[in-house]
Amino acid sequence: MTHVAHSPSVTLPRTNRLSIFGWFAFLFLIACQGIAIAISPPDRDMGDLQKIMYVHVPAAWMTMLAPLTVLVFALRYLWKRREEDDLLAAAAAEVAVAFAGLTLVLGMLWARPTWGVWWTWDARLTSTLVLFLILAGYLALRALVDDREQRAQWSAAVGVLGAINVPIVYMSVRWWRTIHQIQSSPSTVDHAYVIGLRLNAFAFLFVMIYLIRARYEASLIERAAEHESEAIALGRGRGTAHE
Amino acid sequence: MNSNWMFVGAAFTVTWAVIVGYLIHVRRTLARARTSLDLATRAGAR
Repeated sequence: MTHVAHSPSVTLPRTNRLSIFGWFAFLFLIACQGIAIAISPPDRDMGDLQKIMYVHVPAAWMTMLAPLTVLVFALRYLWKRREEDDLLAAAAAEVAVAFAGLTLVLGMLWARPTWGVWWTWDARLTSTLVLFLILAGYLALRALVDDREQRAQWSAAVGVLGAINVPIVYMSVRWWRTIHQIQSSPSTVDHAYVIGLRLNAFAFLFVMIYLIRARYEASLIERAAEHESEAIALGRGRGTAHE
Repeated sequence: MNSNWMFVGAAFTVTWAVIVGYLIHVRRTLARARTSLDLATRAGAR
């Protein structure tokens, strides 16, 4: 590991290869999906369509967990003004967009054969779409603002806004009349599917943690390269002034 | 294969496509950033 040019407390990863934790997360996900499909009987009403639960529900949970991760690091950035917290929040936001998009697509694949439509403006679907758009807005904002401090402050505000939407998404199935079923939990899911769901929830969690960490490491190296280039440019500028 | 399995297969395929696709994106970003850092470090050493 080497130190980031601007921050002696932060270290850069030396290798581009998948870490041991990365391998573990992906192999664990493969194993959990295999186990869940193998042990769960077809549902009385939905038949084998029920198996979409093992990807849709964990993806939906990560869609809610990742913005809460953004919230934690955004608030920590606003409090301590550490650039690393801003980068962690941004990494979590990017992963959150991926999971939110995945959740929406998986929901559509489940809705078509069960509800007869790909999409309906139901409270749960609409609030999830709003969350996806807020998170996409967060990334667009970061791409548009050049000033680092301003970008970090504004994106932290959008990150907080996105996180505020999470309880709305979660409670939408209870607060409004909705076609979507109530929250999936061991108390609302049939006993036969609980183990598969739990295993896949943990597998998705490990994959999400790995992806956030990998993205954060890439950001650290990007930032170190920027600092190095700026330092060279400043050094040259001073050199020219002396001449 | 009945139509239910078609949707189940599509769901698992999309899941892996998103996860692996995002992983490739991150690794490319990492490789690009590392190249930029190497170039900048070499330029600074000169």
